[in-house]
Amino acid sequence: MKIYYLMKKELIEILRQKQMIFMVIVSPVFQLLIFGYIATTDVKNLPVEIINISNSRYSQEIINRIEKSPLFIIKKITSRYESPIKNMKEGKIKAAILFRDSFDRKRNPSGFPDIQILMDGVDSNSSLIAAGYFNGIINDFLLTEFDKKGISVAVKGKSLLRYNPELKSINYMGPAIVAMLLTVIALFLTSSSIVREKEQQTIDTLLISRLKPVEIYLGKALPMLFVGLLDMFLGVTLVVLWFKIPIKGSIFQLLIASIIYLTAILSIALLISTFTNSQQEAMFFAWFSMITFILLSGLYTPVENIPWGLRWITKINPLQYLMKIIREIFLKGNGMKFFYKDIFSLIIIGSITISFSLFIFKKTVSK
Amino acid sequence: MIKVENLSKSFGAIKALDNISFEIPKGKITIFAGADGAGKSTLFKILIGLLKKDKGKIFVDGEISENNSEKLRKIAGYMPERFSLYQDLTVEENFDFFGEVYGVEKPRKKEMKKTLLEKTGMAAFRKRRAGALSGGMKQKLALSTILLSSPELIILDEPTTGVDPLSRIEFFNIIEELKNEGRTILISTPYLDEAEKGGFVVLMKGGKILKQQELKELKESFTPKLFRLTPSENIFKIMKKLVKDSNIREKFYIRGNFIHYLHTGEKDFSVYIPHSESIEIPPKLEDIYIYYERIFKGKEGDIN
Repeated sequence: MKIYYLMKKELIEILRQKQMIFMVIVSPVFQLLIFGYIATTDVKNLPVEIINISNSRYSQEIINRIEKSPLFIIKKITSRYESPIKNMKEGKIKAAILFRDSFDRKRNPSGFPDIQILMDGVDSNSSLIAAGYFNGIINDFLLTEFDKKGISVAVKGKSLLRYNPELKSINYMGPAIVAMLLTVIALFLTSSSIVREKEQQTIDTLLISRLKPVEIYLGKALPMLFVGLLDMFLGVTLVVLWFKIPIKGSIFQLLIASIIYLTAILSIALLISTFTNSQQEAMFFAWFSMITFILLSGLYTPVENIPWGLRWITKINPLQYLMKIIREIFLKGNGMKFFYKDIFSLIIIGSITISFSLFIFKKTVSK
Repeated sequence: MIKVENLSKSFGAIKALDNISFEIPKGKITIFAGADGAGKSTLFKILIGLLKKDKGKIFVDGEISENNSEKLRKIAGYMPERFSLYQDLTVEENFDFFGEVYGVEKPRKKEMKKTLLEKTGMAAFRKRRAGALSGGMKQKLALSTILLSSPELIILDEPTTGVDPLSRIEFFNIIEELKNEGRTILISTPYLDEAEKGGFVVLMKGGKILKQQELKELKESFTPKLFRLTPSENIFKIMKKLVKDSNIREKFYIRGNFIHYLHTGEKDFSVYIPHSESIEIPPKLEDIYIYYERIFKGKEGDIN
């Protein structure tokens, strides 16, 4: 019953502080909206220069296809050769396409022009994706032309995309951003909770009360678990209703995974709050932990791409597991049998962190 | 009620408490007076079990109290140095919260809340957030919350620091009432005028006890004579000259426009001060503290 009063007190404190309301409700919604739009690997509105020396029907048709694509904006078309390097260096264009008649009429009797694609490779990922799109447009054009001429192609490759057929990166990133925001909110809010009591000396009042250290610890953690789940609900709702990403799997299983994940992350935050002496210190450690968790979670870079020396850290990074689980549930509609190992890992991490954090808390308060 | 023997506590190389012993009489106000760093807060924290002692023994009603101070916590209410209630909770919510965590039964809590709010004049502010109260009101609220569990022993660590003079008077009126109810009260303070309100006084400096005695006895047994000299020259110039002479400088100190002179031996040092008037005045606790701190320095082994 005493723990109920402590939890009630924690929630009142959160609700009465405007900054806290902002941090718990407004900030995640705002961040999710922003991240949802910017955290994408899709290529859109890529500025392109076209040098069409060939000026043939073929080159014109390919240019038409490029023009119609929402992925590219044609900044300049010229029929005389001009080096596009200057424009690329100045950042005016990210790609240049050169069409010219083939020199070798023997090997190329059809009259198709030679095509050279020049890409700005600074952003390697976007360049590779854009180059892929250009090649796709050209191949598609060639197949149409072959069909018209009655030429059959012996082997045709056809890609079939499952789980995210439109290849929208928001479908991949959206659920992951929810997991990321959950981490940010839980780490930052909770890591200041005990240290704030230390700064205000209210911890002394709690310690000499009839509350046991474990009750104080849980009284701090449980309201934050509630806040975390509230943010999870807000995030998932926004992702589903605003970004139109359907949840294909079980919401209940997502809830279970989130609770286990929050147990681990709250224990880490409370550990930070226990060993630090000021809220600034706690914020620093929370920030450091957050960056490490996010970078090694597979949010931006697949875990398999992380160098071997660092990959072992991902094994003890709880966010990596939640990231995987949330994507499995959202995109593939997979159930527990597909990610029980990740749940199990989360349980192990959660059990170790909560035991260690509670042990340190007990030790610290009885100095 | 509480007896402390050879208590010591260090933080690294700093000795916060250096082998101190004392006995607190039951049903009295005992004041621990001394400047910052005297060890008062450390002592209170050890008594209530918030800090572990390095060595020494604490007895509560004749029984030894272990490190967790469970026995003492059952009978004591402790108010830390800084305001330690929740600023975002209202006066009433603070009462309810602390009543609950101190394990006060619901009917008793309700009754005590009503009584204490009226007694401290806070009934009209019950819906006000604690953070919006004045300094004096905050301290009254903090005191009231610890009284919810009707503690036999009340430990107040610098309760009036930063509190306006009127609120201080009100606060000490409440303390006096509590004493009259038979409770034992321990107060630490850096203000020696406040220490005059205690029945028993423990003067501290640098983790040691300079003197401990009933206030009345302490004053009566104080043998040095105190003179108030009216300087005939600039007071600071005179003191500047005196500082150079280590034999006499400790006997003089500025009090407003006057210089106080502690006459402790046969030789009259007041001749060193150009003055127009010299009047013998009764010593206050401040003067006694200065004597024990500067001149006496535990010559009788009184510092322990």
